[in-house]
Amino acid sequence: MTQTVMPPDGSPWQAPAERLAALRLLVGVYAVGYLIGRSGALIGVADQASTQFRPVGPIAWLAHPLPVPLVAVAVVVAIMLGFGFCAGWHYRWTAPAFAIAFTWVLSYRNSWGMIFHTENLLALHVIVLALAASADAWSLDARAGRVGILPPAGRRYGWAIQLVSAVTVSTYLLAGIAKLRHAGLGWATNQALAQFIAYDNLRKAELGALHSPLAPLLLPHDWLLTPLAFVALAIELGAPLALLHPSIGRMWAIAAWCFHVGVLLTMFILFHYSILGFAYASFFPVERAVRAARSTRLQRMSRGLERRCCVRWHGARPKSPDRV
Amino acid sequence: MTPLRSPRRRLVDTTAWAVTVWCVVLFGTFVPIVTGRDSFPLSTYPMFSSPRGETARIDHVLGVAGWGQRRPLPPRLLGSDEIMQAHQTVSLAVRGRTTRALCQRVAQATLEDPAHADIEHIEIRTDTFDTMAYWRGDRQPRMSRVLARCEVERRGPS
Repeated sequence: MTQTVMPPDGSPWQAPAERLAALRLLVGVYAVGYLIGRSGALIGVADQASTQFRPVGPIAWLAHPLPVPLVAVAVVVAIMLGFGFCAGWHYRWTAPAFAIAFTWVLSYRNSWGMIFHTENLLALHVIVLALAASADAWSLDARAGRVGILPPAGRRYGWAIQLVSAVTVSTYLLAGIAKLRHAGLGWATNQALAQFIAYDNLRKAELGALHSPLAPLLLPHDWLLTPLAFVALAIELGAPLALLHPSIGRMWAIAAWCFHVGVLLTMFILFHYSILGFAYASFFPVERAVRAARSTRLQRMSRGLERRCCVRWHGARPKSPDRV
Repeated sequence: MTPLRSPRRRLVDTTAWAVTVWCVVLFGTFVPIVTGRDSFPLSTYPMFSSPRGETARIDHVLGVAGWGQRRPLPPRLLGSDEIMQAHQTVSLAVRGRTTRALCQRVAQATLEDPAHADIEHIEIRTDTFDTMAYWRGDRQPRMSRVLARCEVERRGPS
């Protein structure tokens, strides 16, 4: 396989095929892992009373809930297509099919009166990656010669990575706009955050779930939360700045990650895709990490082979360099 | 055999595709601002945006033990592992006036759960709390309304 030339760090629109491929692997593996890990809940949700059914998004046209076995089949099909997406196998067909199946399955789960806003960004990232040439490297298509010779690092791959980042910052900007719309700048000054933390934890406690152990310690000192509210609003409304330069993007990604850590600590709300860092992968040269992981694995494999060969042919392990 | 595209032609095709996808995806992402509709995967991301008052009205399901002590029941007894989904189940039952049926369902689930063997009654209630006072230790509801109450029918040894 041809390895593309690394672009200069200062141009976010220029990227090698491996960066987009690494993003496909990270987001794809996460999405498939999520489907497998949550399959019980994804299928189980269909078992609820039909009066609760409030279809959203691409399944808004459904008048009645579907039979549970059909939902189970949809989840299995989505997982199978997800393997094709991750491996980059006939990507032109499997990727859009996976994006449709994945969005359908998550939409169905969100159609029971409660939209889980923790899943929107993941679904949007899968859609964008499915529409780009994300399997030109590190894929079965590339191995089988279905993608031809890789062009040098450039906009062919950079636009999709920039769009993934743009979608990420858009979701934060929209959340910031929603706060301004509903509460104005007062959201950051009128103890709104303290009331949210108090309300959310109270609701959890009274609904029989775990609440944040920090809430009872933090809430009596609610003045502490006003600067945090300002920072949160600044991260959301300032999100588009992250697209200006890769280094600003990386700083923003770290700030947004810290924001989610704060949400987790104070409200016990886990934005899993963000907390685990996958949501911000497009802001970093992720192909280096994947390449390092691959080369470590290759080194380990070759060392293992060498050792086995030596034992078989010479009946002894190779001497380490310091013993020579 | 498929004719090979020239690099220039390939660049034009890629650019056209990229511009189209960019416009469609970003337009779609911002459409909810105009429609004001929270949906999936396109959303207005309204979480934590509307200011909360000083009180919290909670629709919830409580288990009443033999000695009259009440405790909230975990979401799984309402048919979901997700706390918010369970909360929504109760709220929709309250709004749709189907609390009686929900109460019976929870009673059945409680009966099958050995962790709640001490629960004798189920109550679906709407309680109003002072949110800040709650975290200073005052956990008594300011207002309460019992919407449904049903028995967990345990049969003793025959």
